[in-house]
Amino acid sequence: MAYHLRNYLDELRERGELLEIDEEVDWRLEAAAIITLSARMNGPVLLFNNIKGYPEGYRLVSNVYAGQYKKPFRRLALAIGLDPNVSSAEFLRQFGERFRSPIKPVEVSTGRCKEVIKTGKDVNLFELPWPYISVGDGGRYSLSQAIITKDPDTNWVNWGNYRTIIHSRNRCATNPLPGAQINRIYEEKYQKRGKSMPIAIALGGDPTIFMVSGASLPEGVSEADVAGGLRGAPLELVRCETSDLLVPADAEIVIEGEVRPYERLPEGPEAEAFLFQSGPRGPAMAIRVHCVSHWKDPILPTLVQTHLGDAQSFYVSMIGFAISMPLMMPPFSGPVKMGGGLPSPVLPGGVISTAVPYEGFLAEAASLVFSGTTGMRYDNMWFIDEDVDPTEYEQVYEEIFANINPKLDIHQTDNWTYHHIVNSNWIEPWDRDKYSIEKALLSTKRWWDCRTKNNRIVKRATFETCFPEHIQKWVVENWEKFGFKEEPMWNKAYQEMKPRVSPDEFKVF
Amino acid sequence: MSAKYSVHWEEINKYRDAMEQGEPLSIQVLFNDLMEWKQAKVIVSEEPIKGGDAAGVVRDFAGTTEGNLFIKILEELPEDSDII
Repeated sequence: MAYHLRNYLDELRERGELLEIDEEVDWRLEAAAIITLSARMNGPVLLFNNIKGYPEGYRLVSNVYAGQYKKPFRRLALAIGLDPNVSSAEFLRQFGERFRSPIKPVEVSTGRCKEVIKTGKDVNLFELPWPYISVGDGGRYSLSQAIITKDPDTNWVNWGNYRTIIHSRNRCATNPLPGAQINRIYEEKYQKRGKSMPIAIALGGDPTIFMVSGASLPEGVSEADVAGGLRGAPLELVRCETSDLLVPADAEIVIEGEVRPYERLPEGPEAEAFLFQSGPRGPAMAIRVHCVSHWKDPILPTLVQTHLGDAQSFYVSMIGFAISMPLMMPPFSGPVKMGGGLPSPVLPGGVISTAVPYEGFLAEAASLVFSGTTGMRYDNMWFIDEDVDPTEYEQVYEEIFANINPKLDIHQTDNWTYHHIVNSNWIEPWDRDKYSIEKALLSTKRWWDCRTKNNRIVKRATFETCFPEHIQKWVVENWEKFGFKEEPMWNKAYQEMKPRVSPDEFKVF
Repeated sequence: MSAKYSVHWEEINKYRDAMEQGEPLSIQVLFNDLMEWKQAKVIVSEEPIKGGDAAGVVRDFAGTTEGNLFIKILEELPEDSDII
């Protein structure tokens, strides 16, 4: 059997990073409330063993890949077999390397996801403990999954993760973002031809399934292949009961169904980033569910997007940017070093570490990023010095705070198409019509030139500019002697800047 | 959440005239026991209804409010009737 969610949970358990809650907890608000408070404190992964109204063994696990603010990749690294203490830069390097080394999946005859199979009238989605996350949500949600469809012309299989409301016993509705590949497959192919689209939703299984489903891969690239690359071994897939789609054999839960042409069900609102309610309630792809299969004792993975450390925020903001962008935008193979995004789902943005080969380069790069499928999701682009690690927040924040002259270095443009509307939870209702086009939103984009500027009279006030070089050296050389344990963070790039106080001036003191 | 049912504010607004006349409406109702949506023929009122229950109102950006809406389910409609 291939690596799956429970292997990963075992590893967390061994490391003391899994908290199993045996107290009875209600799927209605209680589980999400515990998750929310725990996330604020960078808590462990939570496994709820006793869900009110559900049989023994039917469990809920949340935010399984969430990381801490300083080590956002810790659990993602663990989930793909890397040292969880790996640096952010090294994690992204190794992750990227595997990401670009796909391994094709293998088809197997059966899997643990087939231990319980219910079809037709026996289907009842409410037999699974979907959480009701926040007061005001339009229903119970499935948020951590691979939604699987197939291009009818090319047989290319697409996996994506879109929020999905459990509408009734045998129907749910999924709401992909504008520009998601599933929209093109469904609307331009199946729907236009008057045909039903087979669909499957897989929850659990190998953690890489969640990772690839959230990434923006080019059309024609199979997420299953990329997941195999991340794992370093082929995924095992098994055929659905009611269609020819292949699903992860060890998925905890598989939902099979169809989306008929022009059929929609209402979806939303739902508490997304930081528990903002996002909506409005509107039509989404209606999934008629024909089969539900699962382990005998299924663990339902969910996601409560509450805090900086939740997996989704980090994944979309950082890995989505760091990994997907170079794939989507080959022109950026030049002087640009991609970083992650800052982990803010409400003010999303990417960090790019780069040299500037010619004047106007940053404006061009920003334009390219904001126009791309992945970049449309971002409101901000922070350009930092080429020798600063874009994956280390402290350094990035220092660049932003120390190098920005708001008048000169923040460039803003209005009325770009923004990718989300369902996620645009900050926009006021009365502005919603004004700035909406189709399902997209006209938004303001900003690119920030956070690089060091040597042509400015005002210098940043930092260790490297406030003190003459000999004082800096003296401090650094004696650092250990002073009793400090960690290496001093002496930014070598700043040494080339003219010290704010020259040695001669210093003598005056 | 103490209400047995919830409805979406847009549907209430859409059918406000009929609601105020006490006419039956065909709307989507959230059955709060499982959080299941069903299309149903209902009477909705801002005053308590004999044989009815209190209902919450799902508001898009302001949570769910309770306290001034009542609903009486007359008939649950076939499931396909809620496709939009």
